[in-house]
Amino acid sequence: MEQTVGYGEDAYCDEARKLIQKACQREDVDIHFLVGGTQANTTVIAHILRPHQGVIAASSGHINVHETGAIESTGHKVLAIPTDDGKLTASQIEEAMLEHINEDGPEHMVQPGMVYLSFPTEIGTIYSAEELKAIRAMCDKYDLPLFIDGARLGYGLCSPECDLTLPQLSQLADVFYIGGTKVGALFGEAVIITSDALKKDFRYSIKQHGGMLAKGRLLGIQFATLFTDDLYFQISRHAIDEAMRIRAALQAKGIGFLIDSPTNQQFPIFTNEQAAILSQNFLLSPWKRIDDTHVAMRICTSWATKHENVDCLIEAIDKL
Amino acid sequence: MIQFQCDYNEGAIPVSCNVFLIAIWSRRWGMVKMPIAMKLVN
Repeated sequence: MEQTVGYGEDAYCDEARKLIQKACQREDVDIHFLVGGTQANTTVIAHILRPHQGVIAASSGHINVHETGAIESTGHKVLAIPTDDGKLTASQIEEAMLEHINEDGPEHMVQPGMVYLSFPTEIGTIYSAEELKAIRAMCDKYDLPLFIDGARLGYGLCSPECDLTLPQLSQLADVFYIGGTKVGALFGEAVIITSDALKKDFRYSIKQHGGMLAKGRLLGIQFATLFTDDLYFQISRHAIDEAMRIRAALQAKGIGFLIDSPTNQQFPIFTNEQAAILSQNFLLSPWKRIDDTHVAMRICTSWATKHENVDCLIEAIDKL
Repeated sequence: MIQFQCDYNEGAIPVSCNVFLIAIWSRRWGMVKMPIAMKLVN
C-alpha cells in the first residue's frame, strides 16, 4: 500500500504538472486537475466572473446547449451569439461589447465578463491561429479573460487542418483545459491557468464547486501517463486518422455534411432509410433533423476506435 | 453493435480500468500502478 497526501498535492500530480508545463513550454502556468468537463467549465467561469457578469459564447457552445444550465446555476448568464459554423469571431465579440456599452443604462443588463470557446467546437470545427489571435486581441481590447474548453483538445490539435500548437494555445488563452475524459483517460481534465490575475484562490473555487478529489493521485497518474512519450497526441492522431477515413468514404459516396469538420466528429446527412440501415449495426447519434426525409447523424471516433470497425462502417457506407 | 456514438462512452473505457478500480478499493494501488497505468492507454 502506498500513501500520499491528498487533494492533488501528491507527487504524481506534481509529476503530471511538470510534464504538461513542458508540453506547453511554459513553467509559469498553474495546473489543476478536475474530474470532468462540466465541473471544469462551471468552476473556471464562476471563478473568473463577478456576480453581475455573464460569459460570451457561441449559441452552439457546449456550455449553452449541453450542460443543463450548469453555468446559469452559478448565477451567471451565458450570453449566446448565433454562429453558422460553431465559431465565434472577434467582430462578434466587439459587437456584443458595444451593444452592452452603448445601452442606455448598461447596469440594467448582464455585463459581458469573459469569453468562452471550445477547441474543437461543439460541431467539430476548429479555429485557425489567425482567428484565435484576433479573438485574443479583442479580449485584450475589452479586458475580457479568454477561456478555452479543451475537452477534445487533442482531436483539435491533431487535425490535419490545425495550424496551432499546444504552446501557442498556452500563449493565447488566459485559462484552458486539456481534456482527458474524451481522450484516453478514465476521467479528468487538466485546467491550465496562464493569467497571473486568475491564479489566486482557484483551489478555493475548486473545493466550493465540489471538484477537489481527495484521492487526487488518480488524476495525476493518468495525466503523467498521457504526457509521457507523446501518448496524448499519438492516441488523438489515431482518432483523427480513423475519422478522416470515414469522411473520405462518405464523400466518395456523395453524401453531404451538416458541417465540414476536420476533427473526430463527422456529421453526414443521411436519408431516413440510410440512417435506419446503418443503425442496425452501428451506434450513431442523431444530431439534427434536416427535413422529413433527411437527418444529420454524428459519427464519432476516439482513441479506442478500432481500425477494423471503421473498415466495417466504410463497407456499409459503400453499400448504401 | 459497433459504437461510433461518442468519444467518452463506456466502449471507450479500457477493460483494465476495472482492474484499476479494484486495485484502488483493494488498497493495492501502489503495487500495481505502473502496469495499470500502461494498460489504461493500451
